Amino acid sequence: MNAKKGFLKRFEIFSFVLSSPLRCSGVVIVVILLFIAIFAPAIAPHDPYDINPVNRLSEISFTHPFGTDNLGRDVLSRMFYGTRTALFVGMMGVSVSLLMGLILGMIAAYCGSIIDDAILLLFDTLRSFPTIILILVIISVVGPSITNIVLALAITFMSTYGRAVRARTLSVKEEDYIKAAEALGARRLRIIRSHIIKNVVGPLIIMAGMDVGYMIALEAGLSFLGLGVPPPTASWGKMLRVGFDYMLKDPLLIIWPSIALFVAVAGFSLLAEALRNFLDPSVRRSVKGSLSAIRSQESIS
Amino acid sequence: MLLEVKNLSVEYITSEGRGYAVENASFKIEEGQIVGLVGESSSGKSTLGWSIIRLLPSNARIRSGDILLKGRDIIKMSERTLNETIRGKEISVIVQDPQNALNPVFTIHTQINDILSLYRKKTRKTKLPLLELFRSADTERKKEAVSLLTKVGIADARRRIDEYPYCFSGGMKQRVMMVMAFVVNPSLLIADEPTTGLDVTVEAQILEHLKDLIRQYGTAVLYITHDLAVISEVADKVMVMYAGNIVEIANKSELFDSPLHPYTKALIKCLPRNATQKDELETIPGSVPNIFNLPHGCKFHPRCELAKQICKGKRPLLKRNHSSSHEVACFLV
Amino acid sequence: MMFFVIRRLVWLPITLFGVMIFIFFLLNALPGDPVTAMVGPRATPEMRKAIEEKFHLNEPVLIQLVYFIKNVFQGDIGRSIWDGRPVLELIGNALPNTAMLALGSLFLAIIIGIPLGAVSAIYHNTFADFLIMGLSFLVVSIPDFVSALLLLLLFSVTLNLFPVSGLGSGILDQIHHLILPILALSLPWIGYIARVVRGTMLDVLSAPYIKMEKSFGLPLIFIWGKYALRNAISPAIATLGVMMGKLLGGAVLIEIIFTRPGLGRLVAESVATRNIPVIQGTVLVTATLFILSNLVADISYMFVDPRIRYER
Repeated sequence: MNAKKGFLKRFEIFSFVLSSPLRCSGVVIVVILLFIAIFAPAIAPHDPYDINPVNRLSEISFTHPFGTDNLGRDVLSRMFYGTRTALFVGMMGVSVSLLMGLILGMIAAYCGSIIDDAILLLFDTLRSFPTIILILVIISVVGPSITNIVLALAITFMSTYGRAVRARTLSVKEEDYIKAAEALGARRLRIIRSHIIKNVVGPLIIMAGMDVGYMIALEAGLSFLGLGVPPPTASWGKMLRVGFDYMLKDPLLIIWPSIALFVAVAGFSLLAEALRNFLDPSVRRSVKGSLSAIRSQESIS
Repeated sequence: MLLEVKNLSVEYITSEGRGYAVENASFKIEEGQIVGLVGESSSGKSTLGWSIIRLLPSNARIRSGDILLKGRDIIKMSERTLNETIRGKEISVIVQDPQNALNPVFTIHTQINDILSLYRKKTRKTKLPLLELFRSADTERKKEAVSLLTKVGIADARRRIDEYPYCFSGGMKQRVMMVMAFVVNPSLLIADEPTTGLDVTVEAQILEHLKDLIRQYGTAVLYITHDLAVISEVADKVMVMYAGNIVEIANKSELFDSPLHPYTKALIKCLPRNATQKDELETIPGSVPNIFNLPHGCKFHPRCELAKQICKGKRPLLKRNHSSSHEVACFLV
Repeated sequence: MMFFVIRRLVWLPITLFGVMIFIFFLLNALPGDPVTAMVGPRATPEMRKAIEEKFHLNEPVLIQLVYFIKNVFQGDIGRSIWDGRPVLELIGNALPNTAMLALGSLFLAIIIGIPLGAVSAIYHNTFADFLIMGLSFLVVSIPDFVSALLLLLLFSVTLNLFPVSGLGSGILDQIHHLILPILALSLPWIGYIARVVRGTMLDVLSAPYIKMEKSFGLPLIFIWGKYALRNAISPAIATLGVMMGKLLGGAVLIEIIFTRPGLGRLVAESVATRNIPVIQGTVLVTATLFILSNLVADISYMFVDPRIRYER
């Protein structure tokens, strides 16, 4: 995905981003989140796995700025480590999904007939399920682990990318410059690599950016149900579960991960929107918010 | 006198700056009179037409002037009164592009009917509950609409009236628009380039139907166009507009026989039928100025062969010349 | 138009077929021995044999698939492992609850989302527009179970205005119990629909035919409500179709949070307890409802926008 930025002058990117506070905030939020995720061990005040039954459900204090949870673990540290889970699942999930969709879509477009129909049927079948149901079923089969979650998410989402790739490839394939290259004897694989991918991937990156937030929300939902990342890994969803179970005793426990989820989803949505505006100069309206964050809602229910 | 416009000025405010699309326009239209408004694109003629019913884009403002319809001041009127008594009742509009002028998701019948029932209710001066408008038509109104549609040349109107706009060709849609405009028996029709963009043969037919309807209803018309040839067929009186100013007003015959303003003269020379034996067509050198960047003095002077020093200094105003019906805005006449 | 509808109806069973096969194979991959699950670890060999015969568990997978499909067509989607009740009965009990949530959310999305979107477009670039769009962004960025938790926290626990869980008894009480879950479920969709409607209305309002209608003196409210809206509504209907499908399919988290026995919760529970027949049945029903909702949406906007009828 960095190839895209290769040919753009950095200067352009900067001035574009800074021109609007909304776009700016998207980028800023994601950068901060990445920072937290990467440097969590360094900046977390306590060990997030440190169980301390004496100190359960304590109030906000200097040592524990957000208090402690039902097992005495420091909430703030768990929040930081939760960022790791969220970002990993979200970004990896989207990347893998994109890759799978890309491959399958191109195969479908290039091979045609039965293979194409089979792949389309696969996509349609996948698309017939409400997202969370599909994920639940897959997870129940393969068992919850962080890799499996990423995989399950990837499979669930790949049909959207796959269909888009297939459609784009089908149309780009017929373009004259491709035929010219073929006539000159270039091998197919090379054509695919140099020309087609560039044209096909662009709009997908934007879709993918929007879906990161969606996947983060799904992971949180799974963890809430107890089908997410296994303990002791920290996850915002699990913290929400704890908060729910102890709602009457310590209401604040729900608030922190809620804010975290909102910020993450909103941040990635704004980022994706900024990306879209950047790549499509005709869309320079200062539209507040985006079609992006929406996707994160579709069927968390 | 039906319509009197005095010193009308309309300004556009955009990110590129502010500019007057119409400046100090003054003219009169009598009952049943057909007045042609001629000008190139961006001469302000459409803006002038639409400002009469105050339907301008949101970045346009009427800066000064009076518009009096049968003595009533349109500019000072409230939006509500304007909507209830003038638009679609006293004044109707037909526009250039019929393709997009009809609402695609409703039948012709629904659209005509809504206009007609609104008109009937208003002229009967009954209180109008909004819900009434949502009800379906009554057969009498339908019959009236069908007969009008037949009159303008739409075959099988009784069946076709229940169809959707996409079933109609451009010329037919234009006819439907004319029916919608005339069914409310307006005193004034504003026609904004109604035949531009139609095939020549269709254009001729439409013009004939239009003239029939005008005669039948006795409507006055403000016919806006860039095509002098059409004007010569339709209009009684002609106004020539350039870059926001009305530069000449005269009866049709006087205008074509003895044009006074250099711009008018040039326009007439440009008509293909006026071409002399030489093969080349006449053109006017230069181009219409951008309203944000107008020349000083007479706006036409950069392109005028007769331009003198005085033309660069002040804007010439419309004043009578020779007869009381011929006005021109030029220092050199 | 008919052609299009028929084509979709034909594709429906094919997709469902694919769904059935998919579920079947997926669930067969579940670890654990279904027989033991059904009869417990202390079963005698005879009991095990009986179960195996009855459910054809000895036979090759493909044969099992055939039996499965045959049963489905006869209306038998199996029985729950744990209490032996027919899956269809369990679904029949659960579906109305989920339907209430889904219909309530649909209702709110229509009467709040669409007008807000229209108002936003009409008062484009004013404070109202920014406010509505800002709020939309907000609700759309909060996952629905999170807003459920927050609503619970605020209104039930702190303010004690609403009940925390359950269905309630008697019409009024049931409605009382429905309010918070419906609110949590519908909020993000309201925001989404508002955004969609705003987008299309903006396009429609700048169309030439709107200007023409204004020139005929039609009252503005009339133009907005009837003429403009009908043009703008198609994408919103498509979205509502997707929404219904997803909600019927399982407002899993909401149902669990508010302890409402619905379809989504049924799926989650059966997944947790490895209750394979129930999983199969519920997922099948869920997928079918999803596909049907989309189909209904597609057909409805054919009525709204006549051009579509002839475009296919």
